[in-house]
Amino acid sequence: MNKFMVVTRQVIRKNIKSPAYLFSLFFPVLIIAAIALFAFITNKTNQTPTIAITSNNVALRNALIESPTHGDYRVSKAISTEQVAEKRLSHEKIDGYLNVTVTGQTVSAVYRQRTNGNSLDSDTLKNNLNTLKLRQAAQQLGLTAKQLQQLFAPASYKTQNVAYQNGVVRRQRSNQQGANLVVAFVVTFLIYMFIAMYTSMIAQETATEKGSHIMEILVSSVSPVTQFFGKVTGMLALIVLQVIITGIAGLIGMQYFNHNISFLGDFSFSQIQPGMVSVLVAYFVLGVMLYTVIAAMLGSMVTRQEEVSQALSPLTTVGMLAYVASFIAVNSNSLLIRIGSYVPFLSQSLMPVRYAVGNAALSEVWASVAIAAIALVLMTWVACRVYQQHVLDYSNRKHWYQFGRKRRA
Amino acid sequence: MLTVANLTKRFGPKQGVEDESFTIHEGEIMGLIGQNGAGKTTTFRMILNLLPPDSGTVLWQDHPLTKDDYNTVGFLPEERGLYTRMSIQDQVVYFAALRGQKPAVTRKALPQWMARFNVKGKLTDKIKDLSKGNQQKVQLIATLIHQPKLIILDEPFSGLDPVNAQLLEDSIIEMKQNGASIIFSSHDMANVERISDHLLMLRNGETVLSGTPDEIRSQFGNTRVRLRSPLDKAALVAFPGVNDVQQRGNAYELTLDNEAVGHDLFKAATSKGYIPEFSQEPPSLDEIFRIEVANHE
Repeated sequence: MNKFMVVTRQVIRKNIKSPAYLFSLFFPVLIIAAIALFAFITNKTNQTPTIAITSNNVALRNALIESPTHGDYRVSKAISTEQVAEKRLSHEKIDGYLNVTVTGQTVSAVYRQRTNGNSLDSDTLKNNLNTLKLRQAAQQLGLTAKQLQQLFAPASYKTQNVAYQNGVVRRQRSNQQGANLVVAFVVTFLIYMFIAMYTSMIAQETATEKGSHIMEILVSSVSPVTQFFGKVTGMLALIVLQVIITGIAGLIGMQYFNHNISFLGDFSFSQIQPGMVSVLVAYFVLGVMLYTVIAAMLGSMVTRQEEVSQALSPLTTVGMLAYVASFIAVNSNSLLIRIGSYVPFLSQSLMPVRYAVGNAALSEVWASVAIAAIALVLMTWVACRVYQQHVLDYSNRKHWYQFGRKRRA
Repeated sequence: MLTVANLTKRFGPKQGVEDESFTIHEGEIMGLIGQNGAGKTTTFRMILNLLPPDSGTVLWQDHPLTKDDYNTVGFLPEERGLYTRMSIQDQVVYFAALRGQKPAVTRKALPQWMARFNVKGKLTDKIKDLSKGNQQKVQLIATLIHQPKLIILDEPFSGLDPVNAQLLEDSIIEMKQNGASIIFSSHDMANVERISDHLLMLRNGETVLSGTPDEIRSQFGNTRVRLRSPLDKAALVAFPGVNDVQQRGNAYELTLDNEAVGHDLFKAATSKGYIPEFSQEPPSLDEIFRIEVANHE
C-alpha cells in the first residue's frame, strides 16, 4: 500500500470512527425518521370520526350514506332520528351528526359535533351532499347525466413560464421549473452546509497535527505533497459518501412523504431534467473541494488549533455570502449576479439557481463549471505549495506577508 | 552510516548550528548533549531534511536523505504528538504504515512491544485515556516498531522513571546490536555515558566537545578523588594541591590541581595502613557539562 493511500485511508477511518461525524452523516436519515414518527403519531391520535346522518327525506339520507367517504368519516347507519343521534352524541358514542332538512327545492344541513370528539374534514361530506342536490335538481329539470357533466365541466387553466435568451424564447413547463428550483435550493443549501463542515474538518485536522507536533513525524515519513493530496482525497471520499447517503435519504423521504407534505404534492422526480442533475453534481464536487483545499492550506498556516476558526472565517464568510446571494438570484438576473455565477467560490451557489429559474443556458453553466474546475486545479497547486512551506513553521510571523514574500522570492 | 559534515544554520541573527560534523556508523550510538537552545533539535531537523541547512551536508549511506529513505528512519520528536482520540493499536499501525510497514506485521509485533515497555493499557484504549508516561511509551513503540536503521531520539528519557528509562536503554542497545545508527539527545548524563559510543556537546550551536565518553573525560585528567580514610576535613583542605573538599556522608570528594597530587594524597591517607575507599577518576560528564557551560559564559 503506498503512502498516499495510507494517508487517505487514515483520514476516512478517523472520521468514520468519530461520533460527531457519524451524527452529521446520518442526520438526514434521523430527520426523515423523526418526520415519519411525527406523522405516525398524528395519524394515531386523529382518528376517523364516526357520525350519524338523519333527515326528513329517507331517499336522500340513504343516498348520502351510500356516497363514498374517502376515509374521512364513518357513518353509524342504525341511528336514523335526531333524538337518538343527540342522545348518542351526549353519551360520546358518536363524534357528531348531520341533520339534513329538505323543504321543497331547498336542502339545508346542520352538522353538530362534540368539541372533544374527532374533528371532521367536512369537504367530502359537503361534496356528496351537493352532488345529490344537483342530481335531484337535474332530474326535476329533465337533464341527462351527460348534460349535467357538460354543464359543470370546469374551464381549462394553465400557467406557462417563458424566458428570453438573446431574443429567443426558451420554454420550460411550469412544474418542471418548480421541481428544478426546489432541487437547486436544496442542493445549494447542502453545498453550503458541506462547505462549512468540511472546511472546518480539514483545517482542524491539519492544525491539530501541526499544533501537537505530529506533523514532524508525518513529514519525516511522507512528503508534505503526498500528505496534502492524501488528505484532500480522503475528504473527497467522505464528501461523496455523504452526498450518497444524503441523496438516498432525500429520495426515500420524498417518495414517502409525497402525499403528506403539501409543497411536494405536485413534485415528481421525472420533472427534473437530467442536465440539471449533472450540473448539480458537478457544482457539489467542485464547489466543496475548492473550499476544502483552501481550508487545508489555512489550517497549515496557523500555529495552534485555537486559531483555526479565526483563519477560516474569511473563507466561510465568502461561502455564506454566496449562499445568501442565491436567494437574490431567484428573482434577479442583475449584472452582479450574472458575473458572480462565473466566479469560483460563488458560482456553486449562484449558477444552479440561475439555471433552475431559466436565466442561464446549459452552455453558460458548463462554462462556469469549467472555470471552477480550472480554479480548483490552480488553487490546489497554490494550497499544496503553501502547505509544504508552513506545516513545520511555528513562528508567529504575519503569514500573508510571508506568503507574498515567498512568492516574490 | 550517517555522515554530517560542516553543517551550519542561522535563524536571522541567531546562531542555530555552526560547522557541526560527526559520523555515526552502523551499530553506533551517538549522544548529543547541550543546554536548551544549544542546537540539538535543529541538528535533528537538518538530518531529517525538515529544515534546509545554510551550508554543509548530511549523507545517509553516502547519499543525501530522500523520501525513499524515510522507511528506514525512526524519529521521536522532542514535543511528543499522538492522535489523542485514536486507540493505541490504530495509532501505532498508522505511524508504522507511514514508514512502509504492513498493518498485519505491526499488529503482530505490537503486543510484544507493549509487554516489553510494560505499557499499562489495552490495545483498544484511547491514547487520551493513558497516563503521560504510557503515552510516551506508545510514542517510543511507534518510533521503533518498524525496526528503523537510522534512529533519531530527541530527549527520549524525559518523563520516564528510572525503571522505564532502563527499559528504553535496553531497547536502544538492542537496536544498536541489530546494526542501527542511533543519535539521541538527553539532559541525563548518566544515560548518555552508559549507552553512548560517541558524544557531542553543543553550546550555542558550536561543538565544544566530541569523542567517546572516556576520551572526553580523560581530557580533563584524573583530578577527582573520592576518599574514606583517617584524614579529616581540616587535613584535606590544608593538603597541597587540593582545591576543593566536599563531605558526602563518611566520604570526601576532592578536586585536585593535577593528577600527580593523587599519588601524594594516597601515600598520606594510607600511612597508617588499610583504608576503605580511594578512587581517582576524571570528572563526571555531569560535571564536565557544568564546567563547559560555565567556561563559556
